[in-house]
Amino acid sequence: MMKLELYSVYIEEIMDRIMSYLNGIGVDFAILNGYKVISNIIRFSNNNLDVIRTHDKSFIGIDIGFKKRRLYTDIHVMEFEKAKEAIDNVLRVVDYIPPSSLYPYIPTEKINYSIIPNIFSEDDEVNQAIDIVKGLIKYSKKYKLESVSGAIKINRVKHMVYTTFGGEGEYKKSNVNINVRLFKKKYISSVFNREAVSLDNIDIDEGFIEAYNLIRRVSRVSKIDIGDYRIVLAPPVMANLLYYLVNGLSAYNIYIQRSPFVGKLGDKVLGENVNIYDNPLEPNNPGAAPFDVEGIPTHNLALVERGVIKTFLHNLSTANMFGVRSTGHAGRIVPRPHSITLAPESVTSLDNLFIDVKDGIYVTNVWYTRFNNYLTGDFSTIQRDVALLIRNGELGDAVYGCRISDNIVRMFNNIIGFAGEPRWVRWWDTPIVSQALFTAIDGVNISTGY
Amino acid sequence: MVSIESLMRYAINYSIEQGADFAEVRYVSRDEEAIVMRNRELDGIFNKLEYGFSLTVLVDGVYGFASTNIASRGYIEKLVDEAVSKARAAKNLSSFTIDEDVFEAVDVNYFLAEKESWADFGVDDKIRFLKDFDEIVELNSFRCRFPSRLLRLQRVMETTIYMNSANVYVNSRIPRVSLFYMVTAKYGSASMQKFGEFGGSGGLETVMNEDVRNDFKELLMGMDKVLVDGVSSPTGVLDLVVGSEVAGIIVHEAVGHPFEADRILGREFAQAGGSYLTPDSVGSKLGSEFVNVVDDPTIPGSFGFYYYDDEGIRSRKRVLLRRGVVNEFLHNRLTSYIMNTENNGAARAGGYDKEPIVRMGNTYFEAGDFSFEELVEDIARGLYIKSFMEWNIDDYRINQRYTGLEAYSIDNGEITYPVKSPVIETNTHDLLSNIDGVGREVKFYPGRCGKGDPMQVVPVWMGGPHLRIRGVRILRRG
Repeated sequence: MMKLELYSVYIEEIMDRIMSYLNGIGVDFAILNGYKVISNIIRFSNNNLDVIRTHDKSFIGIDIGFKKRRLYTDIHVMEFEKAKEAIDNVLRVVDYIPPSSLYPYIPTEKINYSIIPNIFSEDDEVNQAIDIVKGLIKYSKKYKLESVSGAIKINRVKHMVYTTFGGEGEYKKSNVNINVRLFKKKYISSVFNREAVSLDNIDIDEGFIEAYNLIRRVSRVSKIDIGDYRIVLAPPVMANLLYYLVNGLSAYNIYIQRSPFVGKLGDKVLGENVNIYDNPLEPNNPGAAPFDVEGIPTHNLALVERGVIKTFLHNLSTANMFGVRSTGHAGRIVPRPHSITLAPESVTSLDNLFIDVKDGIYVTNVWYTRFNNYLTGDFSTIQRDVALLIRNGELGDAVYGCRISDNIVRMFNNIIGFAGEPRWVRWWDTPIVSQALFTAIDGVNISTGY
Repeated sequence: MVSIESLMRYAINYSIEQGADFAEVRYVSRDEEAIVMRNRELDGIFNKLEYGFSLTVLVDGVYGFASTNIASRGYIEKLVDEAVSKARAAKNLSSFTIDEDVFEAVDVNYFLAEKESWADFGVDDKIRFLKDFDEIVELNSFRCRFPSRLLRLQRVMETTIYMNSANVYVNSRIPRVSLFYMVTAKYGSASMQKFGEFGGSGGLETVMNEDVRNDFKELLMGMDKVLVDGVSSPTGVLDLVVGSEVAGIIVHEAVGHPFEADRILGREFAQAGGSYLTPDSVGSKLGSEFVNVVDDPTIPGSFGFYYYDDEGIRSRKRVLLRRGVVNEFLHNRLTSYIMNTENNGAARAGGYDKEPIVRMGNTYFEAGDFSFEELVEDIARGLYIKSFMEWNIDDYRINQRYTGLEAYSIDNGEITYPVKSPVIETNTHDLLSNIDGVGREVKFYPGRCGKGDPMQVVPVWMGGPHLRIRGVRILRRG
């Protein structure tokens, strides 16, 4: 079988010509990001394969500072003349617009990028993924499930950055994601979700059996009663909440007041047992990156330690505004984490966590997390797969209709314990890869529309 | 230089030569521009020029899909080879067929005009427009402050050329303009936030008009009233009148999505979820006789506008619920084939590199014949919930919640005082069954609807008139 490769000489040629063109104009600074992305996606549902997809995409992001104005253009047409035309178009407006409120500082320090081991697999893993789908369908029949549905995604990326202030580098990374739902009958489903650098790093059998065991003995479900509960959240739920929590640490979200952490830098605002890191230089991290989209080197960074906010996430613009240095978290305008790791000092087993909770609810998956007010942190999110009552420290009957309706800051102050091994999770409703744990939280409001 | 269209024809012919039973190619070019302003200061100007091809082949009963933005004959061949070989590797894992007779051979071009062309306005004009718009916060004597206002003016010009091996050719160009806002209001230590969007297909006339200014002003006035004068919402079982914005989110989440046939068939189960409907639900009673819901992508000027879908099928107005009874689902080629019914042209893709899946266009409750006063006067104790902020709905589209932003108490048939954060927490059956009054004027709101994996976003409108809903369980925040 032939395969597409991360061949990208033509992007580099175009980037060279763009940079020469911008230098000739005399821009204050320029940052070019070139990407070559090859993706394969295998989707299946109802124990059938739906589609096999192959995507090959190349594009260049151009970020220009000129006369204190900041302009962005993305070129997905791989021709220099088209790029030049787009640049001319954006530069034409410079004299008609005011200076940018978010103008960055321009780095003067020497820029060096780290080499991160084990973040790229050369292998074309599509045939392996097809075999996994065949295996999952066999499992579904063997264990008498109604069906399995899901997707396996395999991405390989080459990312190059050129800047006018000394940053020039490239790296290759790969990540594979598997998201599978096991369906027994209405309201009785479970999920296993894993992300890794290579399919070889994912134990499919272990994931399937763990998900299957959740619904194995469940034959009926009852409606949940409204009230305050102790809850245990599975890693997909915690990853989802961590995504929203850490977004609140983005300096741009602080600036536009889309965060409960405005004015809280250095304060202890979360529970003593909450430590959150972004470790983009960590080997085997599917979110790893040696530099951000402004060409700034990344670092492994503590975001929250013992409940204290250690830093906001910055790009060159927000750093300039806040009077600090960039933390290497540039996204277009809005700084964003590369990955999120929850790393408590003490972890127990899941069985012990249920014993500690004694009575409560085990929520295995949620979606539709929506905020009523980002400043206060009031939000709700709704059960997606099976939830089980915890009675006297053991899992009991299944319930449906759970909606967590609470406050994200309050919840992260009421954590009573963690369990399990950290695992990388990312899915449709949780776009940043996170290393989450089973987490028990006290006094969480649960409501329902049933 | 090879033309785009000849390259597309070559891709189809080459796919058939390689053994595909069916092939289609879609070319999409998206030219985007956006201006972002916060508190009257310019945060950035963004341009994006994107184009590319996607190819769908059916080989031995398996669908293969491939996309690229490299326009060369050699590369297209490589991509076809990739799609065909990977589909062959999965032989026996599915057994789809396509009856090419379902396609009506067409050769169509349609281009939507801009009344106020984006290109005729300089960037300075657009910045001035945003500043003038932002100044609405100062034109009124608000008691609360609006310390953070974020505005984004955006235009996307999308050109699509579709062709397939069954002699269908469609070429369209649709411009869309939108104005996104996010506003924070503060009064003492209390705060409220609201984000939303204005817009449609066409030119700048979609947002540069007095109606949009008045709507934004009304929104700010409502936030001021609730934040300063609002009292804690009553709870319990109450009668409601909901505004068009709330009707819009209800119809989108609780009717539109569950009527997507791919969800009904379980094809989205691991991604965008399922549905309370089953393939044999057509003809079943779902709501009261006051409930008429349609999805119509053919409304000129609408955000979800299109005439031909992304599988080359002529679209039309779809009546989802007629007098509360399920009338039809939303279909694409695959779901209509599986359910042996008419394909009503609901396949949309959120970009050249996305697979067309079943999507809404513009979904709304149809108008009734009640005036607003008539809806309210018959309520002894209840709430008028005009707008919302937080919402969600479960996997089957049953268990749902909408938290009111601007809301008022109704006492003895009159709107009385503002209330804070009432929460509608109900289920689809109760909600649709208890609608007993529908207003006369339909109003639409733009949305960006996400579905699929990877997530693909398409522009839609959602809306309706005022609705009266009896006996709804109301909780409150805080």
